[in-house]
Amino acid sequence: MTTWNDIVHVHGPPTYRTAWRILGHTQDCEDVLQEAFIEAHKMFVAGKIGNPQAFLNRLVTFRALDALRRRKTLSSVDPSTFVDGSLGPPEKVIEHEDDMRLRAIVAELPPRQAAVFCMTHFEELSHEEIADSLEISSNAVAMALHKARATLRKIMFKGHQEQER
Amino acid sequence: MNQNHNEWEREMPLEVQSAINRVRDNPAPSESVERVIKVAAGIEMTAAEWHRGGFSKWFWGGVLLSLVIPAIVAATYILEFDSPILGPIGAGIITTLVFVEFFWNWVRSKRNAGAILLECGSFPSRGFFLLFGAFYLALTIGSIIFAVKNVTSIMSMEGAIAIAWIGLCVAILVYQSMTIWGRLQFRANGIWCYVGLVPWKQVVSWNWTGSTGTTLFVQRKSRFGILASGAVPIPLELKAKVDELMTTHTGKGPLDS
Repeated sequence: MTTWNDIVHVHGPPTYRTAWRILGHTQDCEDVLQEAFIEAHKMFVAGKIGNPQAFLNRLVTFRALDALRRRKTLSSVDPSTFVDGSLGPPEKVIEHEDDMRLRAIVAELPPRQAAVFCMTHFEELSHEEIADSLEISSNAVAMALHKARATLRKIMFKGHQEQER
Repeated sequence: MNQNHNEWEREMPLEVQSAINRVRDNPAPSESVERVIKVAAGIEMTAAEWHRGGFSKWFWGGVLLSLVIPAIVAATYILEFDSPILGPIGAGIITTLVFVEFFWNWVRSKRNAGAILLECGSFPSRGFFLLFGAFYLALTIGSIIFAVKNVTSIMSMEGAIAIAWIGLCVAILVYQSMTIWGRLQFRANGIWCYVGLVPWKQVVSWNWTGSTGTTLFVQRKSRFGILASGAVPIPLELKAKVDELMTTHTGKGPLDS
């Protein structure tokens, strides 16, 4: 029988990575993960978690996207961004801003589309895995991804053309 | 990686492609991951402690009653008191003893509480306690006047009852007064909850509850389960500051019950 400890130790690190890719900020990730694990524990106690990885993936993706939407500014740079030292701080700051801009644009998508996009492009999950996590059909995943990509393509090309001008 | 994903990403401007790659490949900070795992693993333990707190409240309440009731019955037989006068004498003795312990604890806690970090105001039902205080003040004065006029000797049965009754009234009156003037304060060494200190190290877990989410519920370590939890209302404008103080001093974030 799966214990809470197993769930935390086996699925905790990949779940953190999911939040990390969406948020890119340690404090925000810790807040989201803490809330998500408390909710997951309630569900675990009630015996309502069938597939822990899928459940946590869904929960954390939506919670992280919510946190991203609530974020008011892109300017807060997480110090852990500079840990590897391969690029100097100015280049890192520019890259960080690009990453945060991408995240902010993704957060503007409708929740399901944003979740599907993150799971596809950040997590590299298959349509079937995403369908399992979100408890929707593979067709619905494909549809949401198509819409998300179309919206993002439009926003990004528009932004890119404005920058070039 | 899926061919379809690559194709879509290749269509994107270069900085977007790079940003997606960085977001995907940037490793999560291991220290933060470990912190989260530690906290998440602790949820079960803390939740179990919450359940134990609920259980121990009933358990210690039962223990207290099971000791007090036989003690009163034994006292009745030993002292050959009649049952009608047992009530006021028993209540007077017990309340006075509890009050002495409470007052001693109040003095000791007040001395050890440390500097005030945040002031959250007086007891919300202060008016109610003021009314009760006035009632007990009148009752105490009336009882003293009645005892002085009617009790011939304090060594008599009437004298014992009068002393027990007045003791009870004074104890309640002093307790009411302490509650009326009590403040909710976050101090250097704990939370001063109107009449007593909850030291930071005794806080097992805490959470925001209530319909507005501004009631602070605290679960503490206590020998007596009945004292192991309590809730205090926090003004909305101070909630963020209280949240910060609780997290800093207890080393724990809010826990959903």
